[in-house]
Amino acid sequence: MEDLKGIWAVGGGKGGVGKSFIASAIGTALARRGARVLLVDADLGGATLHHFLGIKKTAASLSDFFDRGRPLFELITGTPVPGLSLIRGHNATLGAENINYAQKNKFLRHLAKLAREYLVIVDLGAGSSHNIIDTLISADLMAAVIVPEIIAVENMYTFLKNALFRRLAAGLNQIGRQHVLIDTWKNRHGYGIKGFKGLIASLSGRDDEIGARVREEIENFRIHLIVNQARNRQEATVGNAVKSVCRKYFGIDCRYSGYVEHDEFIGRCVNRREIYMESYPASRCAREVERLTDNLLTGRQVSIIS
Amino acid sequence: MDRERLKPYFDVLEIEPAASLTEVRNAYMLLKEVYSDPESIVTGPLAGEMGEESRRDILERLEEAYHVLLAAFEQSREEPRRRIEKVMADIETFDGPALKRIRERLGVDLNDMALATRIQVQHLINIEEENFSALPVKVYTRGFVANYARHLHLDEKRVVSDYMTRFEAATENNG
Ligand SMILES: Nc1ncnc2c1ncn2[C@@H]1O[C@H](COP(=O)(O)OP(=O)(O)OP(=O)(O)O)[C@@H](O)[C@H]1O
Ligand SMILES: [Mg+2]
Repeated sequence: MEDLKGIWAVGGGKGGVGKSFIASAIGTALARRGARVLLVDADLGGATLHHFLGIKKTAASLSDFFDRGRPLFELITGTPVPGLSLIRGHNATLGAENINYAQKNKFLRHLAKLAREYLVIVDLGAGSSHNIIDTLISADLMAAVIVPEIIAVENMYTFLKNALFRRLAAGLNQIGRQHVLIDTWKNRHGYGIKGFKGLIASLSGRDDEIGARVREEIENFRIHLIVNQARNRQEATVGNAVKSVCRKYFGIDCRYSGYVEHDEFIGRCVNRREIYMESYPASRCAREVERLTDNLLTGRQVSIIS
Repeated sequence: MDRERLKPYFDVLEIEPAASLTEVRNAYMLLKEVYSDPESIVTGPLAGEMGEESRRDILERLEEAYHVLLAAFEQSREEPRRRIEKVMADIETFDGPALKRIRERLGVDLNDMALATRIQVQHLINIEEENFSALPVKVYTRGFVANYARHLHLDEKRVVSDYMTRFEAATENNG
């Protein structure tokens, strides 16, 4: 466990689905198993990750990085969980979420450096903006959290499409053909392209080099799906269904890594400044988080629940 | 069943090649439901993008995978039968050694059998070795043998009748 290093990014598109709770719970589970974990709250709009760790305030936060140019490693603080550290998020001042290109790249560089010493778990926050997507695709493990509800699924597809688009752009850029992607998408109506799948089909048919590259990027695009706040087993099967659509329709390597049930004690722990995984380690949710963590480590998946 | 060769079909149903028949059925039913409904929670958000043809294409692949796998499971159910055909032909009476030969031929482990039948391993051994004096009284032994036969899908009546004849002869002689 001590050699577990790298970056895991937790996003999903929709707000309030439980990205921060899941990130904190996985982080706690891994730290308890002996990994050296650093949680980074990259939700530049509304940093709340510290609440799930029973922490009110920290001396330093990402504001010090973005506004005052302090290096990331100086902002690391401890948490009540041994082996688990935190970089608290930016407390949104108006417009603060709009960091520029240079700042984003510097942030990703610093993260990569920290990932040599820690397993860095990044809470991406809601949405599918450029900064979020670029942080996601720079990670070693990408995770998307949804709840069993149509809006979350819809947002997750958007999140995915944006990430895929960025990956395709980067892949085609390597062979100097990025303009083909941009041009095709801009003129999609002229080309008669319907939706993202149509774009992929059109690109794949362009020429062998582009086709091969596009297929490679898509097949190698692995995302771990997590269903949160399931109220029964039936709701957990939404994960099997979403995974299926991602594999069969988008053609990506989507894994259904785990589900976590709804438990009102999660919210109560926040109010009492307790850490759920520490206060209720034997609860169903805690055991589901443990199983999810196992699956993320091994690549195993939730089988079809009947 | 050659599960490696069948992997593409297991993949279509999004299950491991080691999946059981029940898992195959469940996967097929769930996925069929997902793609049959253009307004489901997972297909709805793609409306206008995921065309009718896409869905129909996926449904056809599901159908094909399910049928290929069903056939493979059906065939594999018959496989053990064929494997013991030759042994069975030589058997005149179902005595202990005959039962043992059949069990070994089917590759059934004694410990697994003990778990499934809830008969102690030692009793299963006693049945096969015909340690009649170590076996319990008639009614119990009859139950054990019936259970043994059922577990191997043998003709329960015939096995019990053959075996108990020998059991009774031996135990009567001993007093
Ligand atoms: N499994 C769960 N059962 C019950 N409540 C939960 C569960 N997971 C999270 N919650 C609660 O739901 C709310 C949203 O959770 P969280 O803050 O983790 O979501 P988020 O996706 O990070 O939101 P945001 O998009 O605002 O960052 C919180 O009040 C949290 O306590
Ligand atoms: Mg959050």
